[in-house]
Amino acid sequence: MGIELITLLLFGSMLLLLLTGFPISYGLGAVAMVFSLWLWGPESLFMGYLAAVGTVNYTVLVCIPMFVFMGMMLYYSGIADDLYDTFQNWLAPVPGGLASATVGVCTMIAALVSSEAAGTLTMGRIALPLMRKRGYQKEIATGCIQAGAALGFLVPPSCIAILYAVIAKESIGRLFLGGAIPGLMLASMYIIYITVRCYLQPHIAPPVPKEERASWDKKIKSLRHLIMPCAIIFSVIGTIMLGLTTPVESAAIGVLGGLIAVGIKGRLNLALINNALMDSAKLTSIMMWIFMGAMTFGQIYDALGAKEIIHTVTTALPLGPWGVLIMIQCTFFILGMFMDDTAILFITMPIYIPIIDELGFNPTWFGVLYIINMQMAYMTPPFGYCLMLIKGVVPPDISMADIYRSVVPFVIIQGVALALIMLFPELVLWLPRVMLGGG
Amino acid sequence: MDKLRKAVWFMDSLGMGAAKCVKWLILIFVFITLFDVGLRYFFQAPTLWARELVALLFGPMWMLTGAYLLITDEQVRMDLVFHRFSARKKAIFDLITFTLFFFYFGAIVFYSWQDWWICLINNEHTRSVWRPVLWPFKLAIPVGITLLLIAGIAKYIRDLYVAITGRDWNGN
Repeated sequence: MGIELITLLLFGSMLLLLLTGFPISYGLGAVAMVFSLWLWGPESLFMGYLAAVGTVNYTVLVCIPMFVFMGMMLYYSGIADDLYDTFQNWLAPVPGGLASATVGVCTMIAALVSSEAAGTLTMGRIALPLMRKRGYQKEIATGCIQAGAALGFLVPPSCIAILYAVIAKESIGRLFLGGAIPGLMLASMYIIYITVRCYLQPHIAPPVPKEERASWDKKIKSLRHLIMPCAIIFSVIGTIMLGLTTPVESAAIGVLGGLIAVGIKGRLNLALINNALMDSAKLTSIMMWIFMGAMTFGQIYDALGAKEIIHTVTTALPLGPWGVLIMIQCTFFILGMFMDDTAILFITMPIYIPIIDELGFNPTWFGVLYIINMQMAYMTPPFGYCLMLIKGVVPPDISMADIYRSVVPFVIIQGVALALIMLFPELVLWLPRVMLGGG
Repeated sequence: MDKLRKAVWFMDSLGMGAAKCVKWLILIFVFITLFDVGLRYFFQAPTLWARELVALLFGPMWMLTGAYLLITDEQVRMDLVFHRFSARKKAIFDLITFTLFFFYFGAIVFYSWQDWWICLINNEHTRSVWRPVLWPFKLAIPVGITLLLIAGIAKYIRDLYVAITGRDWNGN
């Protein structure tokens, strides 16, 4: 049997098995092992164990549970409530101010908490009722929350950026810095869209009545809520950017900051730490087991030479570098309908990164493109993790159809941002080069 | 049946217990790292062992949480159709596909114990300045996968019961 056919069979049977609802982590490894047994006999099963050892050796990833735990501490400290208070005091006079405040707070949360769920859950709880009370339409009110929360992928510290950096053998700091400007750019684009739309159509977001706006005194005072988050953002991301600490050390400092934040609020107790630790351990473990499965799978297609085949086929296509890049992104989009971001990353990147290198594209830039692609996949059906998440927190009068409609303008904005970043790679590459030097 | 339930409960509690212990490692990582950073910045005297110890303990943390994820069914599935199935149909599907789970982990659990044993009798050390003994850390792989297999057997028994009787595991 030709290698081409075996490659096809390998990927086909993997997809088929996963479609039956078999957990992705076990499925990747199991399919690989079956093929290995079939092609090379029982001795080759040792490869599966080597993949396990290989995964254990990715020790830099130890920063993931720490970043997740830090985020949870900050989440429980109620930092988001305070931030929203500040933002809405200041933005109330602007058209669509409450929605813009939501995006603003989400961006800050994204810089503190490395999971997109935090933004959705807190904003769904705090901002949504307030916006509805002020007569904001459903679409704008739920849409801005999801768009803002999805920024968690892009704004550092982001788990997916860490994983990409490790697979692409890039520095984590570089990926963090690369995501910073696109993240801020997207946030600004959302806010501009909200402001312009609400200015033109005041009925979708009625302005807050003058007498109910916060006084200057109150506005100034509310600025104190920014101190703690800014201090933590600086001590975590700032130190990585300046090259003072490794990501692992920054994460540890962040945990300390998170513990202090919860302590100040008087909410620190054993049950809370217990739950947060368990959740962080679980989240990390889920990623690592998928990684292990994907490593096993990767070793088999390496041994098969399938990598070379995919490589030759893609580079031989009469598409040119940009055509290949767009085709790769289409595969992200399609896979994004079935799989979660980590699985896609672990399966496709070992194949794609050499291709990207050969085509002369920058891997940091490619990583950011991938992350924006995942952001879009999370906001569009059918997998649409953000959509399902927000359905769980909205009041029953907002239907799934409302939610689908609400993300449309924001997904379009993401598409525009993606195009901009493809056309102007400097948006990603400038900051890492200035801060860390090199290409 | 009650005896079987008790046995399954015991098998599950092994995996659950392991995860509940190793989650504390995250706090230990934080404290060791902070200690090291503190020594480096304030006393210009970083430790030789902190970074390596944290790195060596990371594997055990996620390896030993694996069984927990299986028991609580939190491993990510490609959820296009699966969530719409009835509990019985889910159990039947899992009974078929989990044979592959046993094949995969059954194969590597064997190699992992073998490799650990070699590491133990050769008294291997890591290649670093600190040079700690390797076998206690390496033990995490065989133990983690063994716990996962035990949890898998418990799950298989539960699924068999659900598939055959159509009732849930508690008999309702």
